[in-house]
Amino acid sequence: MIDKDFMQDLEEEEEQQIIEVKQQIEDEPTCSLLKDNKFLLHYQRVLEVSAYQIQDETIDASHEEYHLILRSNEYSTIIDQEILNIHKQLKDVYHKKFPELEKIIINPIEYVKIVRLIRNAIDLQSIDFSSLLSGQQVVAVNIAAKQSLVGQLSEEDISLVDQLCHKIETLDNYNQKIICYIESRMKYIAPNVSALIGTQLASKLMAAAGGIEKLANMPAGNIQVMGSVKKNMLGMSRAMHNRNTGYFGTLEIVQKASGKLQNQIVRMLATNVAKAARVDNMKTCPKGNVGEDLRIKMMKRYQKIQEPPPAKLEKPLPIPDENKKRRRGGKRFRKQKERLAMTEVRKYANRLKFGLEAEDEIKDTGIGLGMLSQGIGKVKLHIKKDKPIGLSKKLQQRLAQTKTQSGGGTGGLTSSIAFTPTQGIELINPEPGYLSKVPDQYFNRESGFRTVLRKEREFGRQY
Amino acid sequence: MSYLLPHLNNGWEVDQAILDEEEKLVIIRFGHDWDPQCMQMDEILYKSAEKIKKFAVVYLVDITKVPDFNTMYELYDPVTVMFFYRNKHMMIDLGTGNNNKINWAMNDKQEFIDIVEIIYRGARKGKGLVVAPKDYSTKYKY
Repeated sequence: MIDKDFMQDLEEEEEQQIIEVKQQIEDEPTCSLLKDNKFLLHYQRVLEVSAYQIQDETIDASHEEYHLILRSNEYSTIIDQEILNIHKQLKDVYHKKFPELEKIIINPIEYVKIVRLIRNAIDLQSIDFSSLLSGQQVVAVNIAAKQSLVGQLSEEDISLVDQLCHKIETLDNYNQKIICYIESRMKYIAPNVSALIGTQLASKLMAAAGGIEKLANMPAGNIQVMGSVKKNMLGMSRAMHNRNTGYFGTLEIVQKASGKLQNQIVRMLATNVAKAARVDNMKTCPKGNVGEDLRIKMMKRYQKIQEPPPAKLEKPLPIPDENKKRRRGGKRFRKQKERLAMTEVRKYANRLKFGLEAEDEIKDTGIGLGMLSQGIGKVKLHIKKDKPIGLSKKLQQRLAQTKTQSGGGTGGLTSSIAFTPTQGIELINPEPGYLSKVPDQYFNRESGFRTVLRKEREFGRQY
Repeated sequence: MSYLLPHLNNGWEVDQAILDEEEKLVIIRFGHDWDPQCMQMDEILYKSAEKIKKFAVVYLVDITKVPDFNTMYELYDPVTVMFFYRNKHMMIDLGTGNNNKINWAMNDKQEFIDIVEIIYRGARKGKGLVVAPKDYSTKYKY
């Protein structure tokens, strides 16, 4: 077993150094983690501990392996970043030889494997890619090679390429081992998440996030798409390509589901993982009960979703004539009724005085003037409103305007065109306030380029 | 479909059915269950029975089992459908010349529901005769 003092000593130092290492990688892209002593030591320890089984139930801060696990997580992310950096360098060098390859094969590890196979070859026909790549990709690579596989790399370039490939391969190796170790300990680090989705997937998520704390702080939407592979679809149809399922896509439940159901289950998983991760971060439930509960609830809900919708009820028709016409009130309906209401004039036209006969009548129809010609008794029939009823407000306003303009007495006998002695016909805009503003013209003396105007004012009218 | 609708097995039952119903229209089909025209009419009756159950009720009567009404209502056709509201027989102007009954098999459920609705409205208002929405005078293709 490992010496506790040894561990404690290095704890504080390591934290500092991890930060340093991260900084270094960000500053100098060519710095290699492989030369870092701390990292190599850590790796040795991980290999040793992997052989042992954990006896305690949980891992908390006091446990020996706690910090080891945390460091492993951090190193895993650092390694990922390192690999990306070196991959970039490799791409830059190999670009002279086979530029299209980096667009076809995006994954760094695969890229390295292919580069190892091709090396400096001119003709790809002899090389068998089928063990590494899918059929589509093999075809794509061959076609791209025909077009863009240019001459040879120099000796230095080849050796550089070899070096970089080797670095990536060893880093990848280390990464795999560390991930294995984390996975074996996952049940103790994040019991709830592991209870929900299994240790393998939980460790992947945690490694991708960079620690349980970061995973807990992620919104569920981000967790859902973690690990989505950037595949290059090179002229292939995207019709059957499902939306990125990411790490969750490897789960059996998700793979069994179809279409819309797949999206639903992945979303449910992601939200529950977010909840479980938060619980694990706070370490409030070390036994994983919360994860279990969430899983049970989720499966129940999933079952319910898959049920068919309830059968359609055929409703019987309502009894005819049951609905009493609800008469509505209000200004609108009053106005509508006004239009159709009986006016005083029509009322009197329909009546006749007793004893007197109707004098004027349209032939046989009975429509005549009635009381209107026989005398009503009132001097003038009261017309209730002078607003014309069937017009909107806008039309009424316009009518009112025209009335006031012509001023009543003129009727339709004058025009709005006025003759002035100087200019002949001058059209007056009837709107008031027309001439009060200085008109905004393009070629107004007052308006113009600001700088020119300023100069004018300064130097007088030279411009 | 005739096995899904209620049958009236004797004259007393028919009378009771017509008298008892105070709010709904009573629709009675006179005919035989095995007759093809009756079968077609029964299918229409069954399909619309669910929809109109709030204002109408449907009964089937076999005219050999219950011969009491054959002369009274002149039930000489293979299928006859008659309408009663509050113990009063409702007449419908279908254009065929016979206002008392429908004596052919209809083939459209919606048409039948329309007729029943019109009769119900008229019956509620106290009318004895209503005018059907569709004219069936050309039913007989001469």
